[in-house]
Amino acid sequence: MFKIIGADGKQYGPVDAEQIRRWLAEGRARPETLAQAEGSTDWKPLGQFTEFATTAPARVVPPPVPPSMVGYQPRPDFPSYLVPAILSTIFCCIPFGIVAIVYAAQASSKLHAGDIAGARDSAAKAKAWCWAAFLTGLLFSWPGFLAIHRTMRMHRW
Amino acid sequence: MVNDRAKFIGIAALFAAVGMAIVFAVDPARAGLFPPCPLHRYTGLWCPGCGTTRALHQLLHGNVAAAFRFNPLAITLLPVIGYLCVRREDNVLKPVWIWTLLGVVVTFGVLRNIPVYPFTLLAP
Repeated sequence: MFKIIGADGKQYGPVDAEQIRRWLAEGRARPETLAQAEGSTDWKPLGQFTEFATTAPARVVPPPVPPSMVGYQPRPDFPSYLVPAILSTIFCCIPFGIVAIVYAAQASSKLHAGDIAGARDSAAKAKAWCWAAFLTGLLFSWPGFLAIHRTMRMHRW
Repeated sequence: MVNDRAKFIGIAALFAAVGMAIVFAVDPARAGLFPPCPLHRYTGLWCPGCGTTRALHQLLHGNVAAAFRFNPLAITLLPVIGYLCVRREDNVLKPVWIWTLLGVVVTFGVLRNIPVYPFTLLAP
């Protein structure tokens, strides 16, 4: 078993020699990629391991893609608007707040499936529904405020 | 970025503090200061959030049981919302949990409108 350091500087593994060979063949790992054999403490390039010296492709390999595995989660730069969605549901106007939660959940599902563009789209919809809920709530509260105003005049307090 | 976030947290904390002070001082169950839920006002139905202000008032006065009587869902969700705010990226929740949350909110909203004994406990 081996651990390797991906192009993103993170450690991956331990994985078996077969997996490393596959990565080498696919160009995801290169002969100069640092790796550590299990039980050993020093890191050396894959090319210096006797196990992989022969499997390294002779051709010029394309820049490696970080192995997408072991807890590698893309961190998107946009929120899914879950918290505003919950808040706008709790603080009234359910129909819109709940639609916002649906879209926030959809954004999260898409993100975990690797569909970043789709997640961004759903998050934008969640945001729009949050605003719709908030503004409708505000709008429909006005009659409430007016009623309160009337009772205040009535009770003179 | 850090400054923006600090500014945002500062403003949010200020709003929260003012809001909590008002909710603490005025009992929403008695004074008509707070806007009523529009859904309840026009349809007579309880929404999943109905009773939240009254529940928060009771919670701020240390009456946890009374807070739960007004809106068990909102009180239960408070720590969840707090956690999500602290972690900032709300993608920390697995999708299945968000769908579960959605199911819980909708189910709660339906159940508290059933006018039969055990469910009437859920209405504020």
